[in-house]
Amino acid sequence: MHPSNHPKLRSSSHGGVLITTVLIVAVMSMLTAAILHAVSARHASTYQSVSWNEALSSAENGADFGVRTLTQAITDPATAWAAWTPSDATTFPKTYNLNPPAHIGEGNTKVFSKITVDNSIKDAPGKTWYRIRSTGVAELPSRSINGIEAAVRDSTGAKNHRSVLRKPRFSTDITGGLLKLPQVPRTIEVMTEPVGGYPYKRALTVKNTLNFGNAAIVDSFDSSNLLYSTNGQYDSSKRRANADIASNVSGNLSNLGGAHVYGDASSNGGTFRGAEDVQGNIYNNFQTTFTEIPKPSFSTIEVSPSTINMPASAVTLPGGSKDFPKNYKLSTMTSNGAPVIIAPSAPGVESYVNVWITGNTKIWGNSYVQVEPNVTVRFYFEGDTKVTGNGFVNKSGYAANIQLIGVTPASPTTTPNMYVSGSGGFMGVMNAPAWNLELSGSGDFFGSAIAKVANFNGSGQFHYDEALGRLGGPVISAFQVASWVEDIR
Amino acid sequence: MKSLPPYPPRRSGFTLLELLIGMSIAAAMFAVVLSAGSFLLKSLYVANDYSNESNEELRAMDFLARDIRGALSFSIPTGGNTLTITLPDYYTSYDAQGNPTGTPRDPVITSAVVDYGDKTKPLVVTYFVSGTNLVRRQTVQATNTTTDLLVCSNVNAMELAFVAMSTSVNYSITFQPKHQAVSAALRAGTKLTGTVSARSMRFNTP
Repeated sequence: MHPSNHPKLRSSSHGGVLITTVLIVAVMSMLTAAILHAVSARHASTYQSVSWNEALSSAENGADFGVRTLTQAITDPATAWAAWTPSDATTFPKTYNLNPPAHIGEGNTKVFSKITVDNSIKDAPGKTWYRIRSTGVAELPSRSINGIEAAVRDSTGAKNHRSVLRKPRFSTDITGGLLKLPQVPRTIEVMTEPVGGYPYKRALTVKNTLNFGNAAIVDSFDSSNLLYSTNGQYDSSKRRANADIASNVSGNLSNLGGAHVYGDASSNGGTFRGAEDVQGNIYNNFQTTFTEIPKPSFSTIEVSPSTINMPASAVTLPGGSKDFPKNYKLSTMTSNGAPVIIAPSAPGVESYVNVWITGNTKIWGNSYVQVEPNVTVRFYFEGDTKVTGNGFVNKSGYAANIQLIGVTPASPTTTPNMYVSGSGGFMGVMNAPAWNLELSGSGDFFGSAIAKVANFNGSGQFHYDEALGRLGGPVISAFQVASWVEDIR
Repeated sequence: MKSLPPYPPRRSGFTLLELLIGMSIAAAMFAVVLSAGSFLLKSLYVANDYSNESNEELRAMDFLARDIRGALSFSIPTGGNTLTITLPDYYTSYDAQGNPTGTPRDPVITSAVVDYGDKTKPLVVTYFVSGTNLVRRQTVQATNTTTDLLVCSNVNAMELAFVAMSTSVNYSITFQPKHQAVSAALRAGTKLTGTVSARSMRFNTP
């Protein structure tokens, strides 16, 4: 028998080393496990914080997107909602999923927003407010609940995990598979208020400069009040002093030419030149925003005429009802002999007409544009406009019945010109905040004007009709967030 | 045949010297392992403290930010240690701990101001330090129900102040000192600070 095979002759020291090694490895393993556990928890906690804040950022991005779309829809209702469901201009509520580009590499996680806009809330006057609910979701890069904060305790010491604001989702995907689980959602609700004002609340508002070439009179009357007008018409014996004028740039750049302004004169800094006969107050702290004028969006357009180009005889454009006005789109409107007649749908019937001229407009010679009684017409001009000769003839006798609207050009460096003259003066309103406006001739101006630059070179007077201050209701120019609530369910 | 003498017995065990050397090595190894383990455990406790305190701080920030952002109004009584906020009564019901259990209400617009529920009875939320806890006390005035939540613990003090225009709040929460891994001395308590603006506060009604 070989000695090494003798059971009593083998050393027992090998077992002791093994046990010692196992013990040491076990202790080290436990320490390592504890370290990894603690690190893992803190790692997950960090990710949770990042995702939590990204989810709010995503929710607020969604709300901003909703506000932006609402504002865009003011001027572009036909296309602003194109990517929303439903995509038409009038059906609410609408939803939109804001999906950011796929994230690659390290850094932030992928986020998602679901936005809902509804119009079911109205204020007492009937103005629609829009409610935007936006849920921002961020991926939580962790499969473990390690690091998820402990429940909050109530005053009795009882824990309640629902009290914790952060509520990661480990099993319920609310993004339709766009994001992986687990996720952190946050939902906010903002109420947006339409803001804006009445466009014709002053006699004259200009974005840049204002110049009166002659010592004119600028005063006001109220065609809707018999105390301040005679049969709705201007009466100098009932003159009022609410013909405010305002410039959105320094007053030094404008010259009032010694005009008798029966109202306040306001500028954005500086001092008006030639303001010695301003009867009201002079302010230099004026500042306002101008609502740009988009191209009109007509649901229907009359087939004929598509242009008025030196007609041999009078051209008549009949109107429609208030809800269904007749809409005309003309490539140009030029005439030096035959008049253009804006007529009611039938004699004596209140009628409405919209005329959109995409090219230039020129009326001169013996021609004129005559608006028959009971007709309200809006001209939307895109190209340079020059109306002389007999000018505009307003048979209704009210400025609100002729509205000359200058569409804001696509290029901010382009400034179209609107020149109106005529022996009979002009009765109507002009809203062209991106246009140069020039009024000339010997007749008076009755109405209100908004322009980029306004020059009055004629010998006539300027009579602001205060009734225009209520014309058309407030013009919505934007939406502002009026309240903010986070839904923590 | 005469049998061979037995194989000389092999020496069993260790010499005293071997034993002493072996025990010394083993003791040294265990000493190193135990001291390293002890240090690591202490580090783990500190790390755990740090992690827990981070969560406490984040929770305080979460609650304060959420409530101040949605505040209709807020006040800071003299002393600057308490913040009282009024909030829209947004939900139809709440549980015993003040958590929403109902659905959000539809807002009502009055004089261009957005209100949820009875505008004369908004939620009233007060933050204050009680003992070493930061407490959020919520009163649902519509049901006259008050609940307390211990938002975070280990708090030493809270200081509050308005930012200009009184539309924002500066808050500062000082936590209790903590142990350190490499020193017996306590490290200074963390001071959590932040500024939050009230997004729903209204100043004028047209």
